[in-house]
Parts: sequence; C-alpha cells; structure tokens
Amino acid sequence: MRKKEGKRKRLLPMLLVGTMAGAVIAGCSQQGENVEGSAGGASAAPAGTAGGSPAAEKALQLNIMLPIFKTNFPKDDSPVAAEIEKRTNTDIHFEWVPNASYTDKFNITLASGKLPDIMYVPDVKSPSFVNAAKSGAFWEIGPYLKDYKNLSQANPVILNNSSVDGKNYGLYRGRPLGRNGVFYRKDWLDAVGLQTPQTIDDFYNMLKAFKEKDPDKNGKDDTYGMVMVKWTGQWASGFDTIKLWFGSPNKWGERDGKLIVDYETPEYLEALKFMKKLYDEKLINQDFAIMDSAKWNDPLVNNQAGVIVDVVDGAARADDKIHAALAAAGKDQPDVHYMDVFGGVKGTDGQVRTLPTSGFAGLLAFPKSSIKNEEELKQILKFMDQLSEPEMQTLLGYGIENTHHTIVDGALVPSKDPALLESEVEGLNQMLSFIPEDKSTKVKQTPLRIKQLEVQKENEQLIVMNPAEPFISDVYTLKGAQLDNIMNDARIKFIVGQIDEAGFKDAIQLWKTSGGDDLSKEMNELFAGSK
Amino acid sequence: MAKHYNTVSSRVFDTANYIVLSVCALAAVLPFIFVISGSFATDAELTQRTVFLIPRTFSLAAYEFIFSTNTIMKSIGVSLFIASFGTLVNLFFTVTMAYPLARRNLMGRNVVLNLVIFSMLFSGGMIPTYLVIRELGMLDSYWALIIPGAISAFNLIIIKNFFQELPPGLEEAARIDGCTELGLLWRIVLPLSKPVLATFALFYAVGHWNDFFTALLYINDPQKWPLQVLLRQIVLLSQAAAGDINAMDPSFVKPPDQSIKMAVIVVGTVPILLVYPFLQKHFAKGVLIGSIKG
Repeated sequence: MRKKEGKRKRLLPMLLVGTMAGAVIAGCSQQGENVEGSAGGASAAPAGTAGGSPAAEKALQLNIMLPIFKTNFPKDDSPVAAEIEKRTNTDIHFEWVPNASYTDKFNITLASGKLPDIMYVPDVKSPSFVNAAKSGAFWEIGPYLKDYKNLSQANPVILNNSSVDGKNYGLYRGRPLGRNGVFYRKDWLDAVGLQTPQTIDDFYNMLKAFKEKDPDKNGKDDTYGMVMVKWTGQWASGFDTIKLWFGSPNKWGERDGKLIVDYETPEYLEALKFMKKLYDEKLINQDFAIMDSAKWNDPLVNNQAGVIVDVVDGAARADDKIHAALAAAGKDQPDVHYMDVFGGVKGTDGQVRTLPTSGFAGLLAFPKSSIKNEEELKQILKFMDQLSEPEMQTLLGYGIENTHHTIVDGALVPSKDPALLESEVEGLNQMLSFIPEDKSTKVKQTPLRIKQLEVQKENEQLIVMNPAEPFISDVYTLKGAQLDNIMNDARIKFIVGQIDEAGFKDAIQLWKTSGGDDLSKEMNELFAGSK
Repeated sequence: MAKHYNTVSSRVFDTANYIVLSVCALAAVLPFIFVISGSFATDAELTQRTVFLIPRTFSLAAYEFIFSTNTIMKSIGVSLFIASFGTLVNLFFTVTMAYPLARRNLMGRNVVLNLVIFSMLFSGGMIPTYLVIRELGMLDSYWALIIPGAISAFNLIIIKNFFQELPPGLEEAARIDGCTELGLLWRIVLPLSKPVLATFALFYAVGHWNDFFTALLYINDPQKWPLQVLLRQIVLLSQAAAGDINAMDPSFVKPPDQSIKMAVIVVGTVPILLVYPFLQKHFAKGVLIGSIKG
C-alpha cells in the first residue's frame, strides 16, 4: 500500500507535465494544418494564368509586400485597390509592413524563403539582398525592360545606380535626381536688402546679415543664419551639398584616373574651414551635432534662423508651416510666400554644382521562388508597365476622381478627409516605379512649388555624380560604420575647434589604417573593372 | 526622539535628503507630465515652446484625430486580448510545470530542470524561431504571440522555488484529509501563492503589452497589429524619414504632428499603468519571498 501510494505521488505530477506538453503540441498542429491548407490553395491559383484569350484570362494573383508610413492602409478590396485590379485584371493581396521595421521584416522574409510576388527592397546595397540576388533568388529584369512601352524609358544613370554589379534585380522607384538645394526666408532677405546669392561669398553675406541685421525687425539680437542638424556617419546634413560648392567630390572622385575619397582633397578642407568660420561667428546653430532632424524646420518657422540646405521641396513644407503658425496668430497673408529656393551657388571656378540623390528609393524585386517562369515574370512586368501610365499613377497616388479628389481647372484637389485618404489611397503609390517619370495629375501648383520643380530640373544638369555609387564593397560592408564614424567625429571636432588641420590629417591617417586603404584599393579595383 | 530632529546637522541632512529625493522624483515624473500635457497642446505651440507643463491652448485635436478611425481602438482591443488571455496561458503553463518540478521525488526532475536552464542560456535565434513558427502554421495568428513565450524559464524557477518553500506539513495534512493531487494544488498551494502569482501575472502582462517585435515578425496582416506596433510606427515615422530623404515620397508622406505622437504614447501607456495599483501591494512581497534560496 505504502509503495503504491509513493508511486502515485510521482506519477501524477508527471502526468501534469505530460498533458501540458500534449496540449501545446495538439494546439499547434491543428492550427498548422489550417493555415498550411489555405496558403497552399492561394499559391496554387496563379499557376493557371498563362495563355488563353484576354477576355477569358483569369486575374493575375499578386502578393505585394510594401512599407506603410501611416497607421491606416488601403485594404485589399477597398475601392481604389479594386479599381486597380479591374483595370489591370489582377487580384492583389497587400502585405503592409510598418516602415520603421521594414528592414527586420525584409530580412526575415528573405530568410524564410516564402516570398511575395513583388517585394520592396529598401536598401539595394544591404548584404542580405546582395547575397540573395547574387545567388539567384530574384529575376534579373534588365534584359526584359526594352519590351515595355514605359519601362523601356528607364533612366540609364538610375539603372546603373540601382544595380548590383551592373545587373538590375528589380525596378527602381524613381525620384528626382536633382532634389538637393537651398531654401531660405525670402521676407528676411528682402528685409536686409540683399539679392539671391550667386557665389559662396554672397551666401556667407546672407547668413551674416541674417544674424546681424535683425531680419525679423523685432529689435532683438535673436536670429542666426543657417540651421544644421545631427550628423550621422554617412550623412552630414547640408554639408554634403556645401562641400560640392568648393569643388570637393561627392564621396568618391576621379583624380588622375583613380578614385580618391573626398576627405583627402584640398577642396574638402576648404569647405570644412568655411563651416568652421560659420560656426565660430555663430552663423549656424551651435548644437548642430546633436540637433534632431525632426525639428529641422522649427527655427525657420519660429523666426530664429533663415536658411536650410536640404531638399528643395522642403521650402514649400516650411512655407506651409509658417502660414499655419501665422494663421494661428491671426496674421496670415495667404498669397505671400515666405520661402524661396535656389539650387546652389558658384564655386571659385564659376561652376554651380549640386548634390544628386541616387535617383531612386529602393527597388521592387521579383523573387524567383514565387514567380516560377518567364511567362509569369512578363505578365508581372506588363502590370508594372501599366502602372506607369499617367491615369494609373494618378489613381494610385490620389485615388478616384470625385471620391478622393476633384479636378478643378485641370489641377487636382485632394479630399479634405485625411482618414479617408489614409485608409483607401495613401501607400498605394509605394508600388509605383515612376518610370520614366511622375506623370500623374498634379495638385494646384503655387508659384513656390513651380519654382521648386524648375530648380530640380536645372539641378539635374549640375549634379556631381558619385562614380562609386553602384559598387558593392566588402570592406565597407564590414567596416563602413566604423570608418564613417572616424571621419564624422573628425569633421565635427574640426568645425567646433577641438582639433586643427593637423588633427584632421591624423584622423584621415587613422581612417586609412583602420581599413580606409583597403576600401580605396577595393573601390579602385571595382572602378577599373567597370570601365 | 524629538531632540534628534533638532540638531543642526540632522536638519541639514534631512533637507539635503528631501532635495535630492525631490529632484529624483521630478526627473521621473516630469517627462510623463510633459508628454501628457503635450498631447493636449496644439502643434503650433509645440513648435514654439520646447518644454512646458501646462499648454496655453487646450486642444483635443490630437485625440480626435487618433480616434477618428477605429485603428487605435482595434489595436487596443488586440493588445488587451493578448495581455489578458496570454497572461492566463502563461500562468497556467508556468504553474502546472513549476508545481511538479517543486516535488523532490519527481522522476527525471533534474533532467527537466537542466533543460529549462539550458533554454535560459541558449536560444535558437530569430530566424530559426521564425521558421519553426511558420512551419507550425502560427504566422498571422495570435497564438504566435502567446505560445512561444508561454513559459519564461526565469519566472518558472522562481515560482518553483516558492512552491518548495511551502511547509511540507500542510501537504501531509491535506493528504490525510483525503485531498487529491490536483485538489492540493488548487485548494492549498495556489491560495498560499497569491502574492507570487499576482507578481508574475503583472510581469507577464506588462511583457505582452510592451511586446512589439514578435508581433512585427509573425503578424503579416496589419488588421491584427497590437498597439505597440502602431505606436512605434507613429512615433518613429519622422525619424526614419528625416535621415533618408529618398525613402519618403516627396508629395505625400509627411511626419505626423508632435501632439499626435504624444497622444498615442499616452493612449499606449495609460492602460497598463492602471493595472499597477491593483497588484502593487503583492509586489515586493511576491518577488522577495520567491527569490529566497532554492
């Protein structure tokens, strides 16, 4: 009896552990079958779409993975999505991923091997994408583009920029190449009696006048010239534009047939000295190294500073904010523009140079695991080609006429209902390639917005290309962050006066020994190979 | 006793104490107050005044905006469900595993315990775990947020130790009175373990409430986003966009207003803050008792 009792004592707790484990396994496997079953059904469907007469053709099944910038997103069967499906004979399922976390989700989706039909690639140079592309996970679409009306007009510069070793593993999402420039408070410039700057000296004089001549006429010495924001490793807010004015290369430059990094050029040092002068004379904000870029426009709106070197389309956004602030105070003049823009100023050699963007914002890639054969790929490319038609761009960007926007005098007026736009329209334009360009109907253009577009167009002729843009460097992948940090620290320290020219040279030396020399060597090999 | 308070040095000491503690308390509380009052301010005011405690213009616009669609309410619902149901699942599995392991006469007890400790030190990593979840078919299902973390090894060990500390005499007595094993757990052990259960319920619930990463990985359908994914999306939007201008579409995407971000933070934080007072009395007791030697 006693013995039996003891056995039971041990048995029951074990049973408890056992049932618990059993419950877990049972719960999972049941769930598993359900989902597997439905997933299998969905992926089997598109197989039969190839061939057949157009009328009887089954709708093309598409899974599309895109980033979403808002908290609402167009649902699969919402009106605009349904309209796209109708016009292109497709059946689309969207996988929206929050933009802030897109990279994580992208990597894990890539690793899982279960990919959508069209997948947004945020960073073409990221090791996970490059490795996947090189091992053949994505269709190389370069050779196919010529067969399509719109896609064949893709910009060769951007195609090159967005390639992996010269091969295009996806459609780039086009953006204006000449987007960078300067915007400033026009009312201030008028108040201090100056003209739009033409040269670097003019630019300096503008900043100085904004600090010293009381441009807001409040009788107090409470203004400064230019707002700069936090410098990160690769990106030095306005400085990347300003260094080009002095003739420095854009990251990498060709000198005597070899690639050389911009830090080593005397022009770069000239630009740094200029920044130091601005800093010493308090023409830029003294906390630029830590200023949050989300607050970039605030000093302009609050009458503290007058100039920002950034994308030119920031001008209209700042202008809108100033109008909003004045309207709140009851002092708004709706017809006046407080902001103005220009692309750049002449360097010492009389040339105007501007900083290009890479011309694209990520790729739309087509995984081989979900697109089984050429036939399907061609269908999907045809779909992408259709999306580039002007009326489709308008549809994806602004929704359906009289529901999401109205047309007044040929200009588009978006609905005033943000919730409606968010939940049915915004985000769909994430799958537009804008190849050859943005042809959608535009919102009514204010003079400032028209000028912005003109400046962007002019800038395209003035851009300084980075010859190393398409190269994928192993050294940079390994040590890039560290290398960038060395030079970033040195730049900031030089400007605020913690190190002098010799100290900056030491930093370059440190950069070289920490891997910079290897990087230069590798870049030059890639450069030689690309010729 | 009164004399003690009157000496100069003790008064100086007390004053210094008050000052230091007040500063600490303020440092902890002020950011909360700023976020709460910022959520009731207009965006224009937030641009002009960087720090303030009482907004000049009181505005409910931010809250009107975030509740203008049902997105936030829906994700609050999702989060509440996961936090409450998930916590029940956590407690059920943790207790039913901890209780047998607390018995020194359980067969293979040390093997199981070692396995548990092993899992504390080594984990499969993100991608293998993802593959397992996918193969189990739990993608896009709330089970993916509940089952993989159903038992926290650390919490399990503390609860097990707590069970072991209960006097064996109680158990004997109950058994003599004819109590079954399950009855013993239900009628004797659990009622005595209330502080520990309350504490770990809170741990688990806060964990579920704050967890965004598993949801991000395993939930593809944005209809099922819990609150934290949404919160992160709104709060990080402007930062992600500002550094990399290319990622933004110039015409459409603009960062949300500051006041909206703050309102969302308030909405995301307040519900779980409300739980604390009810469990707080068990709190210190629960953790301390549980952690006495094993």
